[in-house]
Amino acid sequence: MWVESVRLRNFRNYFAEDVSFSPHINLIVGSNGEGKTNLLEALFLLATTKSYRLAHEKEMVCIDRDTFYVSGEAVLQGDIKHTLEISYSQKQNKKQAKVSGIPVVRLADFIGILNVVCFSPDDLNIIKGAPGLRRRLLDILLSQIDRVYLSVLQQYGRVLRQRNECLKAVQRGRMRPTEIWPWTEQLATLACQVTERRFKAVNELTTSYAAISKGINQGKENLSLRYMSSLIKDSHLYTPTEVTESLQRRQTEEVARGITTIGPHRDDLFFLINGLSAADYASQGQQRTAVLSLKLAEMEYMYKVTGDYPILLLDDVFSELDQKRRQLLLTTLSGRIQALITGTETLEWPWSGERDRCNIINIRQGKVI
Amino acid sequence: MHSYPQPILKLIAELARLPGIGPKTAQRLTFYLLSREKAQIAELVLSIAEAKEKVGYCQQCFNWAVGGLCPLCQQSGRKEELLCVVQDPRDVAAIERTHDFRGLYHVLHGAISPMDGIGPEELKIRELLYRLERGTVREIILATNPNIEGEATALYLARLIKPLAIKVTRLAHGLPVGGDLEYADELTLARAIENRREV
Ligand SMILES: Nc1ncnc2c1ncn2[C@@H]1O[C@H](COP(=O)(O)OP(=O)(O)O)[C@@H](O)[C@H]1O
Ligand SMILES: [Mg+2]
Ligand SMILES: [Zn+2]
Repeated sequence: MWVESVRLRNFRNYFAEDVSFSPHINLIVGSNGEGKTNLLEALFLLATTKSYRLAHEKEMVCIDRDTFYVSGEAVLQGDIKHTLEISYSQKQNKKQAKVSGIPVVRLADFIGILNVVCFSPDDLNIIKGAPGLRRRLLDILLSQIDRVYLSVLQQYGRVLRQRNECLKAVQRGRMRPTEIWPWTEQLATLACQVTERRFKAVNELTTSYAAISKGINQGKENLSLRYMSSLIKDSHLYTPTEVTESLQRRQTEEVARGITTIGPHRDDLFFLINGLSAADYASQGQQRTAVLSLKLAEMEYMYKVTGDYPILLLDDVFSELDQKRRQLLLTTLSGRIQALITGTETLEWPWSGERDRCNIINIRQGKVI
Repeated sequence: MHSYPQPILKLIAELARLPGIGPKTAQRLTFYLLSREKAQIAELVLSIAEAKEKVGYCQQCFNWAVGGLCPLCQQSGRKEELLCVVQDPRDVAAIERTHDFRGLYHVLHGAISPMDGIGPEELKIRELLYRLERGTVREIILATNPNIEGEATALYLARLIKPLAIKVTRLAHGLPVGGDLEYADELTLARAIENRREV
């Protein structure tokens, strides 16, 4: 899939700009603060309805304006075209999304039409950063390719909040302990569904992840991924009944703490180098190899599931990669994948020979020049 | 907007407090009302006051009622041994539209939701148990909304009722998940009642 063009109105520092892309590599060039990341953010928004910088919609509205509007012409497999539109009004605090002119009932119905993989400097912290970052990565990946996952995840989040509120209310004597279990029972079922889907996805991801990383480090080390869950023991996934029992055993402790202590909201994705935890000792270079391999593996996985490659959004990381990794990335992309790559200067782009094949978009102060 | 006389501003503000009505609609309604005949307005005001005055909860099922019992509880030929538990009077109306259900109802007036500070105490659950003590009811259909709060309420009730040796069923899935019962179409609802399952 690829995006032919986007239309930006009052979005960040873009007042009114239409940008066209090539189906292959697009270099987005400009000095700092001109709006390169904002452009990628718009693409991410069209895929997920959210900002990858975790910004609230309000922050994305151009200063002194009320409503932003972003649309994109997406070309999917089989040459099927869709116009995707998202707008947000500050005054009404309302986000609206349309697919080819028809408003979607739930925003969730909008997710998964256009798929993206995003790689920004923040991702370089993913291995050593907080577990929430790694869970978010899996959630963004799975939400795009599995409609059921998104809905199960949302329900899980809601049951979890209700259960935690209930635990706190019991702690303060406002509710009785017998009122916890309807939440426990629902939580257990949903927890198993979320965990199973993440576990399966990581098992699939790790195969291509291992192969891709071998290509980068010439087989020096074995890289692999493992999904670490409180609901999995020796590759055996707990049944909902086992989860319910486990939660019931912890009930006294959970009431005292006012939180649910097991479940996918506490799980983690482990990066392993030769079977050892990369978070503990991976060097800068090893982390880069790991993250790049993960991003490429994500694309392969999405392709395997949907039959179509996602769009790659590469924000400011290309210049961080060495020649070998850049080359590998470009070879992987070649001809099959649309990529939007940002950087500060055309001169530093390494593959001058290939420059002719790249679509170069110069950005200055929210305008294409 | 501040150029309007105070009574207009007051009316707009009151209307805007109603659910689903924003400032723009409130303004439109206000000017519509002002353009009507005095008699028509008097009738509207009267019907609001009268409804509020006369309508209360049915003593038995907590559906809307004028006086002690609602029309459904008074209707002859309804099966007293079959009880359908719903969240809202609107759900009663929705199920009645299917013409498939011949039992009686019990309206909880909400669903358990700790996030909103709503526990079993806030619902008509004690009243339900009291009603069951009389021993006429043989089967209960839990027709709470097919979302997590409705499901939690059904699970909670099922466990309370089980020891009373009453058959407990839950509306079958097939209803739009995450939606309100009120908005389901008749066919879906009829099928869901047909395929109710034991919990
Ligand atoms: N809501 C907004 N309204 C107007 N300008 C904004 C808004 N949010 C960010 N900007 C501007 O966008 C610019 C940053 O754009 P960005 O895409 O992050 O730059 P870069 O090209 O370095 O990636 C800054 O000049 C900032 O002031
Ligand atoms: Mg940037
Ligand atoms: Zn009644």
